[in-house]
Amino acid sequence: MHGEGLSAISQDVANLTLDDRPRNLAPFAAYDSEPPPPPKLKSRGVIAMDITEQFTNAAQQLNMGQLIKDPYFTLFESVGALEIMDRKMDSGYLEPGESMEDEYDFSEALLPEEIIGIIDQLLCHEMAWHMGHPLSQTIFTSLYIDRLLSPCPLTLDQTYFDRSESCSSDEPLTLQILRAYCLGLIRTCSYVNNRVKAEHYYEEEDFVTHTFNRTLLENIDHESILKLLDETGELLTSSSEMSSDLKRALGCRLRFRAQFLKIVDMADARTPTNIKELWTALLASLPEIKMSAHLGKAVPQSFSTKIQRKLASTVPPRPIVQVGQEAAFEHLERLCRDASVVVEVLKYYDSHSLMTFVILFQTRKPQPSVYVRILLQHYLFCDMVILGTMSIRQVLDDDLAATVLPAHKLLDRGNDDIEVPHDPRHNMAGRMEVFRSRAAGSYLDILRTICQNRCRIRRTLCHTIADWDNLQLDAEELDQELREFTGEEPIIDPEISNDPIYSFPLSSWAYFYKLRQMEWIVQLGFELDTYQPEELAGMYWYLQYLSKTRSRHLERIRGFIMKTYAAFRRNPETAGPKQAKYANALSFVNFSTMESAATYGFADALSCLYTVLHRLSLVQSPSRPYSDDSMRYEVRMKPFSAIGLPELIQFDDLSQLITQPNDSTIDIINFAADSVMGAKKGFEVLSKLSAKDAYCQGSHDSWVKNIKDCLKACIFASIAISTVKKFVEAAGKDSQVKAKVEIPTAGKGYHDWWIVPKIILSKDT
Amino acid sequence: MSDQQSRDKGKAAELPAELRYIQYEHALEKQYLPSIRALISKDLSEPYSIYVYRYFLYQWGDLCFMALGPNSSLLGVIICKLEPHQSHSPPTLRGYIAMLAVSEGWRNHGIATTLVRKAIDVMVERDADEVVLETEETNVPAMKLYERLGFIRSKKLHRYYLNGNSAYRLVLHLKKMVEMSGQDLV
Repeated sequence: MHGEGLSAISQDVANLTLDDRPRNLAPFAAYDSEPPPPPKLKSRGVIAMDITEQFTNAAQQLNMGQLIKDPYFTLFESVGALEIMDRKMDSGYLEPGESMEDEYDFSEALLPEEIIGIIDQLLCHEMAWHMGHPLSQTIFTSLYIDRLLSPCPLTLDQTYFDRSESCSSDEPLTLQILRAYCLGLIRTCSYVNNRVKAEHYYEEEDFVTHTFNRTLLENIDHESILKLLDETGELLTSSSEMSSDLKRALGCRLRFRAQFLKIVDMADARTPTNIKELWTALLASLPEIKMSAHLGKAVPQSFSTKIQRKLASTVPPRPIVQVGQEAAFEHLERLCRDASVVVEVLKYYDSHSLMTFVILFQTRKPQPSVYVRILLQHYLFCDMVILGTMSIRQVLDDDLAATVLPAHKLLDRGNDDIEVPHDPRHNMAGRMEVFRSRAAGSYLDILRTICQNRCRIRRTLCHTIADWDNLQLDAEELDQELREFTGEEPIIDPEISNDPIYSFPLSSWAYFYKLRQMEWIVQLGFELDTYQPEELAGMYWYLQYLSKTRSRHLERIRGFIMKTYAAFRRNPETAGPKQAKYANALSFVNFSTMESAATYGFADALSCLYTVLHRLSLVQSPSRPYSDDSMRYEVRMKPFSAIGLPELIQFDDLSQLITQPNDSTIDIINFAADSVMGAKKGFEVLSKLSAKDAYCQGSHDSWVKNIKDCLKACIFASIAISTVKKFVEAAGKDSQVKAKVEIPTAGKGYHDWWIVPKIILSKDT
Repeated sequence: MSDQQSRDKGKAAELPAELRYIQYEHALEKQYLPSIRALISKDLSEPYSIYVYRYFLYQWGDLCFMALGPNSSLLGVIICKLEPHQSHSPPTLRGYIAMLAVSEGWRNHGIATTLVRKAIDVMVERDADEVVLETEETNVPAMKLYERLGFIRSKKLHRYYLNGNSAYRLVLHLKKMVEMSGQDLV
């Protein structure tokens, strides 16, 4: 569109050099009778000339209020524009009598109670920042913090609040405590901020890393801050200035601060450490702080919105973010708990268990805080070394072996050493490397995507799904080429097809993950309350369709694994570890088949239930003046519209499949009843699987809980179905059913992915 | 952008007999822009600068409608734009409802619905392919209004607003996808 023109202009502008030697830039030059001299522009081919007269003439042609807008003035620029002297836009605007900055006496001693009050308020601000609010409206509103950061200190000696001559020798203990605490706090924030910035996150949406041109004490040695915290603690213990209650309260706060600082420094390590115990210990230190919070005395005058005027920001001061103490502690406790769990990801069992871990960790409610999610990404991906120990190839090959290619020669590392160009092994190695370089990024992106916030997971999957469709096609080509080198014998089965049937292992693998992601897109749609009630029959129909497609696909994979396994067993020379690899892949295929059966059974049941509720007019779909069902279907299915396989069901066909015009209502509800019973049995079996068989090693408890929630939803659905069945049986063909349906909103049901309607009898039935 | 629909189901005054809807034009700026700004920024923590209003009104004045009451007082307003859009998918001529507000005492009378319909009607006349907007997840009345007209929620946007609330993107296709402008717009 306008892109080219715009870049041309900015290029022109960049080519100009302004002569900016010191000049007497009279303010309000416009008011002088003498016009200012034209700026001296130096650029080859550009001749500067004075156009003041032409401009004035042109301006006089305009009527008052008439607008001139060039085509490059964008919405973004208009939103960024400011109006001077508007109190909500002009950062320099002052109310009558208002001062620009605060006048605060930093030399004044504070009561120990006041120190507790300030410290606890700072903790609330710290958590508000972790929750996604900017530093400018949280921690940076503290005048003490501002004092520490501006001007930027280079040594601890430059951090005294009181800047008078004698300050260092006679700093009161209370102020030293506050100073040590603030230094520890800022340094902790610095670690957190740098960690977040190093991974994938969405600025402002998830977290605000902006420090408004302030340095978070990166010049000051970490150890010296820890030492000051320790020394201050000792000084406090030996002090006789205050009551033991206050001493204990201040002491536990200093210890907490030192501990937190140590942990965020160590949390980055991916080698075995005692970090889990440290997070647990930090969590255990919180009750003492909480219980002594009542001793604190707030010092509201030590926090101010005006500090924002000193920060690198164009907007006027915004209000201080208020996060209460209870909410702050809750957030911190959860952060400690989640962080102590997330380190468990470092223990690798198998690629499927790893993915299960990441999925289940991200479904913890509420979703783990950004810093913890960032730690997860860091543990997974830092330096392209997976979990700090494995190459990407290792994980990818593991996954291929455990899904489609157990003990297969394509994954034989020995192939890499063959240099004879005609040797099939050399060619296999080459083709597999092509595949890996094509697939590795997409595969790891699944994990990276799942680490994002819930809305982003769905949005990102909706975009990347097309990439998986292409990946499958590319893999199909490689599969065909590889046959020449693997010498694969096709299956000949005239009952299925007249053509020979090949295994297509790489594209099978890609198809499996594509289907998984398509299922997640639909399921996240339920979780995020994206669908309207009358869409539910169709969306559950689609879910069962995708799940059933996965199940059939797994059957195909199983068939080929069994075939190679049979061949392998006939050869007595190969045995041992290879046997285990076959068993593992078959076990995974069986597990995923079971899981898909429970999913499509339940989805089918709900789809039928909603269809019946439509027939009974308990779920209405009103006519819409600007749209019809097929057009809304296009909007809904847009992410899938470009997918080649499975092909998008055409609206008219889908409509038939959902409304089932040839089946009686009683038949449909009976089918729903059978289907939900089947799903229930499926979830029951799943819930009893071992961690190894359910591919959830490292997260078995969360996995069982998740399955049990599905089971509860399933039981609840079977009750709803039998209630509706009774209506249908009791009611004559034309009579209206006297009942009401309530559809729970997101988070209100037993499981976010299963929206089970509640059937409420009307009183007069 | 902003979207203030009635959140209160309380009783409102009777509709004035002289309620009328007029299409905006530049000559009306002096008379109505101050009250448009006042009405829209009432519930906003960060107001839009004058340039934001002019950005829309100067280019798409015909997509702005006002509901006027007694003495030509402003009761409601809708501000939109319409231009080619392309991101991940084929280009479309996309209408965007940027702002919609109805004065508190006059809500629940269908004024907002009428304003939206008038704007969409002009977009249809101008051959728009689709209409989109964002609305706060907590603003149930607004979502109901749009959904009754045919919009659906295409995605949820995490912490989209300054207050930390999430939003839904609502989308209405005015044509079948095969009939959309597609490459003509590039």
